[in-house]
Amino acid sequence: GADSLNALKQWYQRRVREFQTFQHYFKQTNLRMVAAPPSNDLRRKDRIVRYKPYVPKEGEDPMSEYMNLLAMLFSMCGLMMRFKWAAWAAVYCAFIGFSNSRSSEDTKQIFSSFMLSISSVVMSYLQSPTPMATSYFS
Amino acid sequence: MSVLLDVMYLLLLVGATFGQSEDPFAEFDTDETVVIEADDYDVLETEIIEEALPIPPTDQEEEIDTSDDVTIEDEDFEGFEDSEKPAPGAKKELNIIKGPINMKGQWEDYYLEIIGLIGVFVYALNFYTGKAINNRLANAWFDHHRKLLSESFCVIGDDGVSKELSEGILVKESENKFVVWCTGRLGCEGIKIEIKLLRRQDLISLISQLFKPQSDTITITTYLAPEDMDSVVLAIMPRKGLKRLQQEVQDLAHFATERKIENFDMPSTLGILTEFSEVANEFLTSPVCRTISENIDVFDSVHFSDYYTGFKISQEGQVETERPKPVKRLIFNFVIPGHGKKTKNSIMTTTEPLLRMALHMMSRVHKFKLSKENKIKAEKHRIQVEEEYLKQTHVQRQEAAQARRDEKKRLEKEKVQDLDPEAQRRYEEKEYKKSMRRSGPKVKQLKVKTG
Repeated sequence: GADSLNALKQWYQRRVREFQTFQHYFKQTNLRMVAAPPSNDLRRKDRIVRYKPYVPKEGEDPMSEYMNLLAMLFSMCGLMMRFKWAAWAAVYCAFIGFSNSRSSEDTKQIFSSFMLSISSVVMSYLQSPTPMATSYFS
Repeated sequence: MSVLLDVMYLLLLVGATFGQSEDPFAEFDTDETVVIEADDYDVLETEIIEEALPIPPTDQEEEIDTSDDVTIEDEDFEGFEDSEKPAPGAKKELNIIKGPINMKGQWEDYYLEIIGLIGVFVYALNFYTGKAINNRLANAWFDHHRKLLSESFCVIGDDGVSKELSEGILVKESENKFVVWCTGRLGCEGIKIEIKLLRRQDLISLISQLFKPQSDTITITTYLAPEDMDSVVLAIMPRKGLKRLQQEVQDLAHFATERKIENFDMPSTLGILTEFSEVANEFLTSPVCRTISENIDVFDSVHFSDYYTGFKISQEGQVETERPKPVKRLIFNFVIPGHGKKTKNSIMTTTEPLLRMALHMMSRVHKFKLSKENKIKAEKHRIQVEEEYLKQTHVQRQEAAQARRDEKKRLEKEKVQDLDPEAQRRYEEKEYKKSMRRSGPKVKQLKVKTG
């Protein structure tokens, strides 16, 4: 009866002391009991994967390349055969190719087709400054 | 007559400097004799005409190609005895005045050129305005949805090329395509958000937009690691393109069958394709259905697949020879309403509820586990499809392997030719032994332990 009660009391007091030293220890080491992140936050730093920039396969969106090719063809044709309309068409094609191009594409090619078409127009007009209208519609 | 000759010489010179394609004498091609008066040519000075004498061409300093000229003989100049002898002091050098050929009424004739120039300016103007609008719209979408994305991902907007992990970058693939890469989340490797806008920077595309209206689209592709998802095949898309898509997309063709849309609370313009109805029931819960129905003008399609190989490469009558390796993907397609006509920033906010729904579905996909029987069925089916594919391509792969072996042999033979005869003999012995071993009887070797 009383013995068992005493034993219980002693046991209880021992546990309390243990807990107090435990608390003290915690305070000493400055550990903070941080709550676990809320279960609906799914962000994980260990699952970070870097982006692999998309490399367009061949044949996708050929508009830009066709337009560049056309621009070069027209400018050559216009220069050599003295067709002014071909030189103008080259300028338009170069512009369309430029506006449809992707940022990852080589800008030098587009720039060169631009310059080529503008030079063909200028050269055609230097050689024969008559307007197109009189040459073709007179 | 002398005046006429001088004028003709002048015009010849002028024609020589400005090109030979136009006929400088075109205006002389009339039947009637034209009397040329000095007043017609305001730039011609009368003094020069009076002073310039008909000197033979070689005395003049201009380069006239005289090889084609008719040789001037004395009989031709019968009436010119007086003027043939050039007076010593009066020999003047002929000035080349840049007499334009026909500069009357100039600017009106250049109307085609002016139209061309105006066209180029209009195109350039449209390029800059279209580019500015597209940039503005893409940035507006990114800014508006950034908060939602940052709650779900550690990293938003990596550009992939910088050495360190970058954040907050909207990658510009072209003037109308933008990409946002978000990563750092449980259940997936990352998501790629492609903002595909209309080609507002290209005038030709704008004109074709009048005939065939298209829309700005947002495509969200979730890249999954193999352990992130069970075997799930599910597709919700407009009913119109359902049949065609079922043929074109391989995993839908092999695994999925159509289910009734009436079982779910969604508009009948949509159709559902799935492998197991358990999957449809699991994901198409009432909140999801409600969100889709409310935002039906923004919703385009949804495709979950653990066996995604992209679209079939359509070759005429041929079986697919090559197919990319199947991967696990979730693809959400959303459409900005208005067919691109509305360009206010606020139109880009309409995708927010659907983005929320997409993120919610992503986490559900991660948690979902198929029932045991369905899992076994799915495994079997996939193995079956894989075997079929291997069989079909078996012939091609054999041929390719044979070609490779032949190529290797040829290269070795060429190498051997270059070596000295001693090495050649050794090599041939080796080859002989190898072929004997290959074709000879297989002898079982018994290892006997002695002692």
